[in-house]
Amino acid sequence: MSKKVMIVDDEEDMRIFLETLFKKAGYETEVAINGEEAMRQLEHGVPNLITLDILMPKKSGISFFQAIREDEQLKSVPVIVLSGVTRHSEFFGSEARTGPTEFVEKPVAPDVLLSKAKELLGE
Amino acid sequence: MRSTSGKIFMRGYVWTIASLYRVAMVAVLTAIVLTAVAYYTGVIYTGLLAALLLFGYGAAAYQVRNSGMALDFPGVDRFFQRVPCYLSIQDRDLRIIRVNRLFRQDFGQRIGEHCYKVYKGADEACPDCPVLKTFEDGQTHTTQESVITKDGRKVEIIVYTTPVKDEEGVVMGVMEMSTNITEVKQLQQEIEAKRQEYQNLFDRVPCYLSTLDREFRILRVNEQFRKEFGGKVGEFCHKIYYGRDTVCPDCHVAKTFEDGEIHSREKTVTKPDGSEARLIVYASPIHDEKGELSAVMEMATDITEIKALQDKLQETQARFQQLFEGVPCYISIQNRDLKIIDANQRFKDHFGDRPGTPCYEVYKKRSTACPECPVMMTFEDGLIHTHEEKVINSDGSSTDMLVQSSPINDENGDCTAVMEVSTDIGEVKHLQRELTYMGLTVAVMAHRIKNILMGLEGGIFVVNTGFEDGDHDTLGKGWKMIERNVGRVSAIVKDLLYCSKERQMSFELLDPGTVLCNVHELFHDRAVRDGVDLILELQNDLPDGQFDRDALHSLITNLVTNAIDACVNDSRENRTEQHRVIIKANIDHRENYRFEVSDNGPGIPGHVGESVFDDFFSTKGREGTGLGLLVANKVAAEHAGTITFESLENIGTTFRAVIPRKTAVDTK
Repeated sequence: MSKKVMIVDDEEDMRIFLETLFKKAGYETEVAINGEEAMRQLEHGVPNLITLDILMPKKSGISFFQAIREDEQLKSVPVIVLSGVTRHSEFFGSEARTGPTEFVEKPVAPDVLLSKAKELLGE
Repeated sequence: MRSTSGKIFMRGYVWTIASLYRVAMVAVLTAIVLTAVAYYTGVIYTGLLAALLLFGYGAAAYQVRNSGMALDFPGVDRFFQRVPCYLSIQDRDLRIIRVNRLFRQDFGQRIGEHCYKVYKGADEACPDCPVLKTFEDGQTHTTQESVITKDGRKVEIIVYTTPVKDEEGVVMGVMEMSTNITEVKQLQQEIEAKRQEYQNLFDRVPCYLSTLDREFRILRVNEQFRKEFGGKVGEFCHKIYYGRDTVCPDCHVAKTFEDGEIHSREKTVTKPDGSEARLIVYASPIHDEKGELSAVMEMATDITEIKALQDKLQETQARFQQLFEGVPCYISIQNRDLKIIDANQRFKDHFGDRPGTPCYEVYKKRSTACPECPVMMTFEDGLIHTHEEKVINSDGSSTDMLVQSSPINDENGDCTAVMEVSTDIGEVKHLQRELTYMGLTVAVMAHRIKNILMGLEGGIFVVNTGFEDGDHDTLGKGWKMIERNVGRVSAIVKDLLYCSKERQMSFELLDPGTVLCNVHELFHDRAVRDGVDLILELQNDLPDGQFDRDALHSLITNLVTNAIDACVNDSRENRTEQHRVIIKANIDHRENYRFEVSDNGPGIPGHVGESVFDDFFSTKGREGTGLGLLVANKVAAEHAGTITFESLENIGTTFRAVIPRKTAVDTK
């Protein structure tokens, strides 16, 4: 069974790109357009990897990240925080150290992103 | 006592050997005659003869006395005894042969003793003895002596010696008359001491003293005067001070001579060394023993240094005043009640001249002191405080000021007032805002550009994947991604160009309502998609005005974009109201167009001033380039207008562009 990547981003272009990327790499994908929707989808299943944007309406990436890191079931899910905000890792507190997390600044080459994802997935 | 010529003074008579012989002979003959008469005639005839002889002798004695030789008359003796000075008569051996009562009282009955022994306890005659001189020349002599009384008191006497002569003019004795001048001497000494003291004072007092007569001639000067001007007694004062040959006009000395009052004045004189001195001079009258004004004392103190300091102080004060008035900032001085006690002209011109009014009334239009008032802080701790304030000018407009309050201390170091110096930083704030805009705009733009690049990168990947997989659908999606992001790049570049250069405005007379309608139409579908009610409210009779159509369109577009973005990014979970954006246009009574775009989004936190723009820039507007408000500001400025906003948390935000109406008649 292929591993599942949850894509959480309010930008359509990013969702299209990431879906194409991970699907081509053989992963299953599910998308959410904001943190709130992502939380609802997590109730139905835990993905193997989450790619997460920061600036989103109705629950920003930061508050979503805090929520999943406080959750016993979700805190060990690897997360790639993908954002165009410079030094966005500084917006995250100690919760960033409680689970496997990678901070990637946009723009990023597709192969680099894929490589980081495989690393977090232990491949 | 026996005189050298054989005369004896006894009982007021001068007896010589011859006279004694004569008296003895007379007495013997008288006795023989009386005996014979008594033998031959009897007692009666003897008695009668004795009486006759006694009468005859008495008359002779009287004649002797009247010849000056007899001193034993009661009247003369009483006078001699009672005269209030020491009287003594000495013989040629300087022995005292007679004294009066006062002499006896103070020196004792020292008859037969040498006068020098009695007066001075000396064993030999005094040098220059006046008694001896009188004996020699038969003249009166006088001297002053110090003698010792019998009880050891020292007495000062003035002595007169007078010869006492017989009928032949021979000096038989010398009468010494001495008057006790001890008290006079003491008074003289006291007077002398006082005179010395006065002289010292006169000489040493640290000012110039001179006394002048009615002709303005110097009678006397003190040491200080002598040192500076020379001891020019007899010269005219106006000559010494001014080199003048005539009395100075308005001379204070002349006035004192006229009215006997003290007069004073300041004057500048030239010293002999050529230097000038400024003096304060007092002229005071001097009266003689008859009470008549005989001279004037002039007392002059050199105040050159004091005057120089005063002049310097005045100069400094004038300079300070010039600085106070001329410095290009607003200065006010407040007391502890925060009432204005002084202000410079710039302050008065700007805020009005209202001494005694609390500062918060004058430039804050408040009825109570401002919170965190820097003036009050300075009163409390005596330190300088700096604060940014927005003040209200007398014309109602507001100005951003940088305010510094500094203490004004008295001589005890207590802060009695505070000086408030305010500098207009409106321009600086404007530049700061502009730079902040620029900084944030650059940051947001960088963020957007990164997203665009990611979009392009992603688009290319998707296109390539489509090509590789032969998947047209994927190819199409990728191509659209590229198209969209290229469009975004184009929009950013256009906005950058718009902001960066002076665009040539193209004004035309148009109905601004049509532009707003156009924007409303443009955003309608998007608003629906985002669940936002987009409402247009136009004033019915909105008049035409001079606008750059594209610029106006851009301004309204940017405001609407921001408003929709605010609604879309509203993360309030307890919100129940439908999101709404209202576009309004009207004209006020001052012929200003008011274009408003309001939303009921989350609003902007009230404590954040300028960082409202941070919030806007930090939210991700999907359609905007990040330059929205910058562009809007520029457009408004190009139309001689302004943009302001009002916002309440959890209520919403309104942006308002106010643009003065211009018609075809008064084009820019």
